[in-house]
Amino acid sequence: MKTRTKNALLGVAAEIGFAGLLVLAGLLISLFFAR
Amino acid sequence: MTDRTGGRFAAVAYPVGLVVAGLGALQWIPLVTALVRGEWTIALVFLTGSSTTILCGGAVALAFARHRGRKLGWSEGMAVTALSWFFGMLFCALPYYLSGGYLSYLDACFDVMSGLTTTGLTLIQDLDHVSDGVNMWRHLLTWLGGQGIVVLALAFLFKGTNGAYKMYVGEGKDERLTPNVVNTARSIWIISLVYLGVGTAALWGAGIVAGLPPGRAFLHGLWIFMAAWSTGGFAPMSQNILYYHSLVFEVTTAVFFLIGSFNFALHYAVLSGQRSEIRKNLETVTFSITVVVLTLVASAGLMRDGVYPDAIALFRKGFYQLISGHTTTGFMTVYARQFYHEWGDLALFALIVAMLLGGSACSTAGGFKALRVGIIVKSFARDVRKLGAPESMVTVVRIHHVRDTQLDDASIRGAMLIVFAYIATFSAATLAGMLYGIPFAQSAFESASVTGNVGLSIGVTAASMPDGLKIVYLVTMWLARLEFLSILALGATLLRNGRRR
Repeated sequence: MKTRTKNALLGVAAEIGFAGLLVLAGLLISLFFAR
Repeated sequence: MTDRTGGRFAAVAYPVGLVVAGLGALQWIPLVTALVRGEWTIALVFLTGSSTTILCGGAVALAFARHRGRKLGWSEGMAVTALSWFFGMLFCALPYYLSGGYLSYLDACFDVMSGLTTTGLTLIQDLDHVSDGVNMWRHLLTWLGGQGIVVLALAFLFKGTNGAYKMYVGEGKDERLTPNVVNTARSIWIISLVYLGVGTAALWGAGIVAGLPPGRAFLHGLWIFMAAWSTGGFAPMSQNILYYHSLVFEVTTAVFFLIGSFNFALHYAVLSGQRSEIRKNLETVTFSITVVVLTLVASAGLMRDGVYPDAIALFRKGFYQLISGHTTTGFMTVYARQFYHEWGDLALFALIVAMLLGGSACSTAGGFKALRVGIIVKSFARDVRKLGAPESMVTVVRIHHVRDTQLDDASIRGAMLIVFAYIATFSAATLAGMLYGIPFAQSAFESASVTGNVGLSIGVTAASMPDGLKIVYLVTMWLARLEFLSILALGATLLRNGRRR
């Protein structure tokens, strides 16, 4: 696989991962308040 | 009109005509959609709209084609952007109006401006029975608006770079991804097209999981992705995201509108291999902090008032609305009036602040932008530190945004001016709402939504609201999306020309 394609795919995965972490933070805060 | 004024008008008219003609050509996409779906009347509507737009825009571009090599100054470059959006709105509203889905041409113009500015408020009638062709046009407009219609024209229509940077800045994007602004515009489109494939596939799957038939799930996935990536907020059903009743669908949309609210310079860096940028960048750090703090405040308010019974309801209703507002998307999983009747002051306060703060600079999002908030907080911290330090000490503050830079007074002043302009516009729109008899809290909520180009509604925006308020909201969306400068530059140019005559 070309380096540019690999970087782009890993970059997309990194951004999805970061956004997923923010969503996870929201879920954890919701769990905390609803205890 | 003096020669100079006439020459300036001619230099502006050519690119504006070209952008308008380009928007006419884009109407072939909903035209093809209508033909494929057998919506013959709607196909005729788009054929009429497209032909009229191309003829008018093309005629202006051809009439002034000999001026295309003329160098554009800052005011002309910005005027091109402001006028392209204005005339683009007038012509793009034509198929909306002809489709019969709007009570007036003003309502159609409102929806076009709402789409192009990625706001997402709508005045359409009977959305649940709107044709696929019109839905394609609605979502295409919001997708194009997210990247910017002038950015699109720079990437694919204009030859040469004369005045390109000025038009680009006029559209509220002031960061170059590459040294050449035309290549920057193309990079923005390549990034958006990569995500169009990834996001549509993910939402297509989520739609099938939610119970939609595969064909329908594809169209809904495509449209919802376009609205999510552009932080737009349009949806094909009147219940918005609530229609799907699916946790998977909600989480998938949240991931894509969060990514859509990131800076294109960040996308470019991360997709070019600088993946650590995502955790080091001042903008993502600031955004993450404000998301967490405002979620804490909103959750505290919602649980104190007993609005939601458990963690999942709090997450799917409270947190979803909050990040939808913070990223300036405007997707909703509650009914508009629930904000007013159920949410309580604390949660509404957190949501209004989130809508005003917005997403990232040079992104599809609106609001103050996290980069400016980060710069102002850093400069404030620097000034506080200075108070306790010896007078002779020089304080240097470094920020990291794609590269390390030293925080200078010009950046701080620029950030503060734009934030001030947003607050002034928000206050004016709130006041206008109150003058029309809307209570303060509801007026403030709705004007935060239009000023931040968000699209969440507390129930004020409706086809039945006064025309004057529709115009106030329409102009506010336009001003805020272009970050004031290009429209103020256009106003100043018109005033100057008026005085000369």
